[in-house]
Amino acid sequence: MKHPENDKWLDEALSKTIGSKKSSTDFKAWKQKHPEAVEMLTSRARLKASTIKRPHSIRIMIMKSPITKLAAAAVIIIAVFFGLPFFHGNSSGIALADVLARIEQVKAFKCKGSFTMTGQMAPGKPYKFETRWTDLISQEYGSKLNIETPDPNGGQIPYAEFYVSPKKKTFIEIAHTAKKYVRAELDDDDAQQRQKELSRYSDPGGLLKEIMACKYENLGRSTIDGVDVEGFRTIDPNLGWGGLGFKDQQVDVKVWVGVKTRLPVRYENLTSGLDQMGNTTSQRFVLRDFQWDVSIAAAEFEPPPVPDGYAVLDNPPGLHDEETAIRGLKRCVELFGNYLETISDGAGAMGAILSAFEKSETPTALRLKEEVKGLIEEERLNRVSSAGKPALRLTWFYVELVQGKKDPAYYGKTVTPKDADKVLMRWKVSDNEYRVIFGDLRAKTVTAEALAELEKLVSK
Amino acid sequence: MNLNSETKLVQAAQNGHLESFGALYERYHSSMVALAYSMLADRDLAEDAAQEVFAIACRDIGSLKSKERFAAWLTGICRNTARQMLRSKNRDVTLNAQGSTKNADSEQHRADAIRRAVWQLRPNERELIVLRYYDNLPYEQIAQVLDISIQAVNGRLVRAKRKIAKYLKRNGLTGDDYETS
Repeated sequence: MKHPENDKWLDEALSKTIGSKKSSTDFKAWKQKHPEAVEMLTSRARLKASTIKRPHSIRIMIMKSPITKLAAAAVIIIAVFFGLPFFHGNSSGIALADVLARIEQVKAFKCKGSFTMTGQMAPGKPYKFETRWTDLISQEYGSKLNIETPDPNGGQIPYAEFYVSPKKKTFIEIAHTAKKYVRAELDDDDAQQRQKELSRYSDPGGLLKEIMACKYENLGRSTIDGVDVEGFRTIDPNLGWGGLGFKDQQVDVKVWVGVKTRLPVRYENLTSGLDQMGNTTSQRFVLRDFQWDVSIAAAEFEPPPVPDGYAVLDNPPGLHDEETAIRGLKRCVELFGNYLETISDGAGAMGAILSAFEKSETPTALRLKEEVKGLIEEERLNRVSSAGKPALRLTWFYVELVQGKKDPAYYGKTVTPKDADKVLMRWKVSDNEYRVIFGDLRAKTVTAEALAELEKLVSK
Repeated sequence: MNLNSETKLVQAAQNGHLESFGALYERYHSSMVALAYSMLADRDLAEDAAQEVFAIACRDIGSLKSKERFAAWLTGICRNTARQMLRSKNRDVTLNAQGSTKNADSEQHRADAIRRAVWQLRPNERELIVLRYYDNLPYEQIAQVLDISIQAVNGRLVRAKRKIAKYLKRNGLTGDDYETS
């Protein structure tokens, strides 16, 4: 029997219906429409070509023809061609494209970072969450990330360590506050993904690209820790850290670049607004103390032995997926007696978890309340947020669905574990199919039509 | 163009040679329009997306470490660009079906049915079909763009066309009532 898909008619029909109306491939027209992109590419040639063979004579040349007497265009040509900074004027001496090109040539670097989140669990109940980290990133060896949190007695205590080796395809996490660890063998995709996730903590190239994609201003010259720098700033709300979007979000992002090195010296992102529960919240992310082109030994990436008494992490790392969601929902029932009413993210997620814990009288919650009695506030928050981590991961998965335009919905306000036939959570998996998690945490794929029927049972 | 000469073009573009980037643009422009079209279902938007893809590629080509995977890298940029366009326009992809009543013009009716058949495929199958039929791209280039083997292109194409044929048959359209040239 002839397979219908082999018929010539189908090929012709598809060509006729889908076929191009001969779109033009005109590179010349494209170049005219995208001069900035062209400039960025061709500036690499100039960077490579620029050699200051006789810098002394060039400085003499410029000093003999004072900058003030030169036309602005000529100054630009000299400065760009020789890679020299401006000495006067309001024009930027540094092009961020050049900074990016320099970053991409770096084989290894170190930096420090910090993240501070402040908000309200409920009116009159503020909280502050703070972490700091040191990151070591090497093209050859991978990534090593050490995270610390404030010690209630002063100073910092180890929070967690992460090691990714794309070469060895291993991932190791040692969570000190939870006294747990995990070692995982990764395939190529997971190793790349894990490296990418850790690099997000300290990815100056990626952060710079985000600024360059926005409207930004030059802040002029200043000094940071004795280093001459030039600053840049954007207030584009797309660079905010509120994953599901803070209301009335305000964003202030700055980067300072060393005048001599043309490499970042400091980066700051301050995002503030109202979280999902309507509480004022702010998040501040800083990268600083960069050491570029450090020489690194392989031994620096060897993880330490796991301390005695540490158990295997019960939530192994991995991409957030349906399993993450189900584990998170189970944890909500154990800890809070029910599902979270809504899914927030960032500060809102933390606030919702802490708030639900406060009200909860489940055996798990009561045991934990007993354990944390007498601890100071920061330590109590750390312990509770650690216990609620699976619920946090659930919110991260949900945010990924929103950002991936998977049309997710969550009905935790009205659906309980007893509602076996009611939709608790759903998201799109293909053009006409949705993945559904029911109140009893069964999961199933249904058509859009079937989902519409099921959702009639849910009060929204 | 073999992979070796393409790798050299990529290297030259990374060193700032604009004409080399132009050669890559000429080679992959059509496939990027097709890929974007498979996600956006709108030819004009797909052209815009492809323009943006090459702007991003021009800017970021320095960060591409595996030069032999230029096509797959470009594909990743294209998919992200199309997704962002969908998000920013807050649009769902809907087809401008002209209606499927018996009284509709039969050729238009067939074209609408074929479009629906293609757009009901899974995204990865739809990409393959549109890449193949948008501008008659050779299997070799499709394989490079989707980062799969030529054998996989062939096998998946057969399966996707089988699904399309089944869908069309369910909707009353077979080869019997289609005149071939």
